[in-house]
Amino acid sequence: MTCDDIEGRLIEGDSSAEVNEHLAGCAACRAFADELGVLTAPVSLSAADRAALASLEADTWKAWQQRQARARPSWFGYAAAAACGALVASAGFWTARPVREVVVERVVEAPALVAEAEEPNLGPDEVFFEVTWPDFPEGETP
Amino acid sequence: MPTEAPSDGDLCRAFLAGDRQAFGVLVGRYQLPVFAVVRRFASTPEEAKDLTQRAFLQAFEAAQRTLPKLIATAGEVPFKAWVLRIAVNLGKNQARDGARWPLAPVETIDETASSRPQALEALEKAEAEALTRKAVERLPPRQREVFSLRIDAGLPFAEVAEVLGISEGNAKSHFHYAVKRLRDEVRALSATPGGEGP
Ligand SMILES: [Zn+2]
Repeated sequence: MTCDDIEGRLIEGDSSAEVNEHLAGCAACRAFADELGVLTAPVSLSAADRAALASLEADTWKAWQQRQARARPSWFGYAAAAACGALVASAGFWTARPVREVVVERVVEAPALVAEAEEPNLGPDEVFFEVTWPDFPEGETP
Repeated sequence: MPTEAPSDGDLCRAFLAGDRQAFGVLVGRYQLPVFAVVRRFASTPEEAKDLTQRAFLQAFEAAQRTLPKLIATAGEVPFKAWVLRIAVNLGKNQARDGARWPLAPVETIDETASSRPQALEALEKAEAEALTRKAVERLPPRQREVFSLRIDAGLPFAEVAEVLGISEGNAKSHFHYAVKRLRDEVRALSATPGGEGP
């Protein structure tokens, strides 16, 4: 077996007699095995990690119960949810209405607003006319 | 005559039928590998605990969603694969969201540093761990997932493959690439002052 083969087998965690025999006679592979040990060391857990783990099960159970309570509301919960839904729907209706009116107003009153905006230099006896292209019947273009 | 430990499927069915103890057994069975997987990506023990808790809650919800099937069949429930798959995803998100981890758990050094040579050894170990952590952060996502499941969760390649939904050969291949890349990265980081790469 070549050193490359041994490297591959070491990476896969092979500690067979064959691998150990090669390691005993090959300094390069021993060095790789040492390096591999450092590279593949699991994250070490501190005392604080272990403390966090100690309360994990109980806290997870509490969180599970809370989730279940949220997922399956009581009859009071259903009633409250329905009331909230109705409130939100009506609020939505009333807040939506003015928005629609604004859109309509803009369409209807836009020409007046534009005219107002464009007549700052007119005197009180002057009338502002909007100049547009007249419609000519077909074939009568000047 | 020794009684056989209940399977994950039995425990899931019992828990969903209201057995509180079954919940505890399932969490106790997998909390260490799940915590170890997310710990690599979390900056504090509390963050790791939160991620572990979320992984379990999501796995139990997955069990609940497949409840009718679970009750109807006596088939095996891949609870371990579910919870670890979720843990890997949560860890990945944590890494993606730019969370950064501290260089080494200080308690690890304090616990073992009872004499000067031991303190130095612990410091070297902590430095090596910090460098490796940084290098793991730079691995492509799939290689990082395989590495974490193999090293932190301690899974055999067949189970790594099951969790990630890939072939065993593929898992081994990703692990080989990961280790070789880590070696190069750690060597580069060790050669850089302050251990910071580009
Ligand atoms: Zn060799």
